[in-house]
Amino acid sequence: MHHSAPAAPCRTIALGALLLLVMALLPLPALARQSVNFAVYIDPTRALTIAEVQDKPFSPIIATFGGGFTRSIYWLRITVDDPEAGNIRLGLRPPTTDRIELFTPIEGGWRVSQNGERALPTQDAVPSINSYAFSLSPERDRGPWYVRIDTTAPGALTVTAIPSDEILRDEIATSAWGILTFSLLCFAAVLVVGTLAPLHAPANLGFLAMLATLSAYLYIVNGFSQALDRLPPGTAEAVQEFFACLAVFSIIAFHHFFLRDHEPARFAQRTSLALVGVSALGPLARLAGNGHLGIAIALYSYVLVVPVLLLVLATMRSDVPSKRGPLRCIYAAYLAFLSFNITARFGLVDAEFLCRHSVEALSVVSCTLILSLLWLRNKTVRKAEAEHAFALQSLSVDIEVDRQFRAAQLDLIQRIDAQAERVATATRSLVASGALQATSARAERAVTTLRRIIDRCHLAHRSTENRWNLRPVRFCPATVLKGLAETLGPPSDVHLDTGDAAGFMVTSDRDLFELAAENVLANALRYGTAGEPVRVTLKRTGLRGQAGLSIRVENTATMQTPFETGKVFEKFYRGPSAQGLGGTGLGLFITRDVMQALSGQVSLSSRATPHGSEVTLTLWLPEHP
Amino acid sequence: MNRFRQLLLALFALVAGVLLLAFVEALARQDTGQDRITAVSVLRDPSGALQLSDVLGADFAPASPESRGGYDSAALWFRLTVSPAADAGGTILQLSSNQLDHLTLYTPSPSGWTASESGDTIPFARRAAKVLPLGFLLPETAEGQTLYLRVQSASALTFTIGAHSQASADRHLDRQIALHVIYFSLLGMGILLSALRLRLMPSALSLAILCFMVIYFVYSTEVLGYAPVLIDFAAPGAHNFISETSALLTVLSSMLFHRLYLGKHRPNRIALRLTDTVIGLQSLLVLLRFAGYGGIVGQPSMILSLLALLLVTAMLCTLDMESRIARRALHITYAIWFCFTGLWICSRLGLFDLPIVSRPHVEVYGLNSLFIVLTLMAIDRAEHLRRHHATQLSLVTARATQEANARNATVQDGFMHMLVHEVRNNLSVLQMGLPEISDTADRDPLARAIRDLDRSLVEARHATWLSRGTWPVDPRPLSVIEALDKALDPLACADRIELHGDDAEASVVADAGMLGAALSAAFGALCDLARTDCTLRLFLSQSEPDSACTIRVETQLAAPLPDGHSPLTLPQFALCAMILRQMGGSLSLTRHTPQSLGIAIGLPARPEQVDMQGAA
Repeated sequence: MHHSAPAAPCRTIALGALLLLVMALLPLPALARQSVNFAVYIDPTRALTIAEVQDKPFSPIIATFGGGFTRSIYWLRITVDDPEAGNIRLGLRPPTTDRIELFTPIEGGWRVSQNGERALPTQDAVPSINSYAFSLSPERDRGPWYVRIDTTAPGALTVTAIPSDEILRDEIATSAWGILTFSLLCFAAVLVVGTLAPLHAPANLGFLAMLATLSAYLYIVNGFSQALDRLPPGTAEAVQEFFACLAVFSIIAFHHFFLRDHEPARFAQRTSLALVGVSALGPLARLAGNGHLGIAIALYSYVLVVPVLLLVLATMRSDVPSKRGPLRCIYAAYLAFLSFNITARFGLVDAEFLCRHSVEALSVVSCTLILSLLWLRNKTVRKAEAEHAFALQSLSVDIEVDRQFRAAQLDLIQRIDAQAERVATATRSLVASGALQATSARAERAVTTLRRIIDRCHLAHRSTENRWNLRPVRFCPATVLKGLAETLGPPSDVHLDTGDAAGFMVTSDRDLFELAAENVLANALRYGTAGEPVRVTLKRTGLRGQAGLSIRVENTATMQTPFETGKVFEKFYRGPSAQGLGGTGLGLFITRDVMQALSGQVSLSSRATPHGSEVTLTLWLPEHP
Repeated sequence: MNRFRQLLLALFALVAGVLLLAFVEALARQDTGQDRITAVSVLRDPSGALQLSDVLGADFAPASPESRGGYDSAALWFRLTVSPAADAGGTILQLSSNQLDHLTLYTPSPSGWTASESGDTIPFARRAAKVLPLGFLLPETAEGQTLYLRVQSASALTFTIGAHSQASADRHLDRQIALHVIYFSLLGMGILLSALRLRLMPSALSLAILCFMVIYFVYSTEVLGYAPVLIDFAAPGAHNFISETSALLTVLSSMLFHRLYLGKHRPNRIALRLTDTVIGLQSLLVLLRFAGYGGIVGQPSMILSLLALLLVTAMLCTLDMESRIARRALHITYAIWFCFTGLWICSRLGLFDLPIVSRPHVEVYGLNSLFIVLTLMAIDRAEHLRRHHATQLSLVTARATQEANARNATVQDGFMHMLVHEVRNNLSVLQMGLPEISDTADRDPLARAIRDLDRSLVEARHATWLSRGTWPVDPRPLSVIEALDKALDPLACADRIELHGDDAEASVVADAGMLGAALSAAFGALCDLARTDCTLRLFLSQSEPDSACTIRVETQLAAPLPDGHSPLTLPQFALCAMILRQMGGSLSLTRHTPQSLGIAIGLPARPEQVDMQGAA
């Protein structure tokens, strides 16, 4: 399972690279059919006329020029190698280009046709979905043609010349790319809605918003919305600018919310948040009527995304909710693509195929990579959720199995208890009738021991169930211990030192305390060295700020084998000194649980001595529960 | 969180529904500007053999520019006049379909009549006009003149004829492309999701869904005319073949998909079998199309579609689905699907027509199918995830139970060890005193109480060993009679047991402790159940040395057992059966009436893993 995690991003990156390659290869057949030459001249003064510009030094280009948010005028010269080849459709992208004028040479002057976002189509302008198009007739007009382009759009411009019989095919092929892009975006959206959880997480919801915005922007920027319903030039431009700004804002906001969970350095986080705030001003500026400012904000925010993301990625400190390694790998590919896209959109590379589908490529690659990021995170979160659910299930099973086990054990104890009672009754009856003569004392002792064993089993069971029914009363532990010492053996066997606790009263369950103390004293007497008294020392001692009583029970043992202090309080544990002797192994187990029920403590330590070992068991009982 | 998701999904569904309706309405809208056809009349040529010269003098019936019918070899002749354009620019005569096989337009010329050809059996490059949908560029001289248009197609002849300016037609096409970008994007998304499903949940159903989506995508590109533009096959009729075949395959894959999905939920068997028959017939039609009988398969395919729709309804009504929510969602989804599909089929069969459905029928059916595919995939996926989660939880439960049992068994082992050891120590003291008691009446109750307690302890320990699989097994050759003697001796009913049979030498290889425990448990139970004045008849048989041995016991019951309880479920019999199972033997009931009970204990000659020589 652990090996499959990095494989998914690798596959995604490979798929993204393949898509880019296919995207790049798509326009090649169209390019191969062209026999049209383009050259460009930039007029920063915006003052040149068609008569003046003809003498200027035009620079040949393949298809892409300009870009970068300039106010210069672009002059494009078009010449055709083979005028007999038929009519041509000249197309200019992006559809955000403001005003385009085509100068066609005619006898005694120029025929001027116009098109663009801020101009109504006239003369040779023809409808087209993906570009502003003009119909050129080289056979009739010969050329060269000049195009004056006035635009403030930030992206590079692309010019294409398609033979007239290829127009329909070109439009459909271009639309096919749109279909592929939209299919992937819709696919990603359905995956987000259908599988990613929780959906209301800012990153997931942000991604959904980003997908919707990018889809709308793509539909608009590719001219499909204009084909559906031709809006007035100003309105169409405003809508397009608004969605461009919104798309940039959605991208930046998504990255901020997504990476925020990985706890980047405070400086990086604030920078990222500041960028989100700045990019949010873009759509607001457009809504306020200043499209130029809105686009400028969006453009500079977009350019700043790369360094800010680098900063955030470099300073991330948390591997929650997903590991940073795979995350950085995917982001590396994403940032490389983003840089490439910015370069292409600024027209720094003169290549039609780099620029022609830059928005589509940005959308597809961004969404693919981001989806893989979300997928990765979602997988981690789901795994954690599943583990949590399984742990809960495991716990509930444990509880249920233990409950059944205890019930079965209680059933067994009760069965044995009933039969032992029959044995005891029969024995006592025989003892009373004198049928058991010589062995009556032994028989009575055996019956008593049997009863004691069964009682211990019951107590152990109650202890496991933690079903002590506490009845707190005020009593003096020293008195209880004194009584016990007298009951359990001759006075010489127990040396009781009550110290300052002689009249110390506590509020607790007397019976349970007596049970615990009896277990401890009986153990010490039973397994201690014969002839050596058990020393019991009482002392008023506080623990964790609570007043209480400490009872130390010390005895010596003949064996040097140390106790396993970790196990001594477990059920059925028999210490080294108990080997070969009878006993249930339940005494200390019951003592520990009783003391816990009384909010007290019990601990045991042993120390090796030349003649064996010294064992100290300490009980601590609070003054009040 | 779930409520938020449901709310969001509901909102999403609402918005998507409204957008889709608006989308369909936009597709159905025909805003190509003013139609310039001034007069249309039609002549049906059932033979399809008439030439222009034959129809020039024939009687044409006045008609509307809309036509219906098809699925035969007949040709339709239209006589029409197109008014001259008020402004400059060409005029296009278009038919609102891309599926028509062959179109010929006859325009008057100085030398007589000029024929121009188009249709989907002609490669795109060789068509008279490279436009979508099928049509002709009218020369200026043809405007205001009488024109003849011959239309022939083996598929549906449902179309509208219109004449518009070139600019208007271009705008209309751009609009259609802009709408179809959305339509094909949604279909593409359906394909991607189906492919993902096939990757995640490989099954015949997933494959059928993917095939359906891909085939419908291909069918749409063909019928809407984009495929011939993008991929222009040189072979005439190639696209026509693809279009017709994909139409048949669309129906077939759709039937398969619904059958496989609904078949999973145990619908009515008759409906299921009938659906299989319809699928078989549709497959036959596909084969006929491949064999070149394209002209005769269209109408039967539509009838089969209608039949399949009815059968799907029948299957849907008889589904057996666990989840009520899923069933309700399925019913709603299918109800919507039925509405649109039924309308479409009715319009294709000429039974009923609703323009908003029939005009963009390809898109409407495609979106409708996409809707049901997505919904069914979502329901199925949710069910799959639920089952997967439940399976994982079961696995976790099983593991946790196993671990908890193992942990408890260790505790139980220690407990039993302690209990048996401590109790037996004291019992042995009492047992030693028994000989002192001279009076049997005094001694017996104590002896019985001690024996019962001891037996309970032993059985409890045996149960622990059995549940943990820690019985200290030591198989060796044993005399069955001796084992019986040892087991029966301590029982109160020992003196009432009668041994029958002559296999006193019967012997098996087994663990003495296990065999003794099994026999003690079984006979102890029988003694408890038997009438005190009745004997226990014991039959011992072993057909030959070194073979399985059978011990049968029969007795009269002191009281009938409670109704519905098998005697073998009593704790001691259950313990005996458990021990015998571990030994490779068996415990069975040979007789059980309210008055009597008989059991048979089967003992194997030796456990399978025991080597006789090793055991000896």
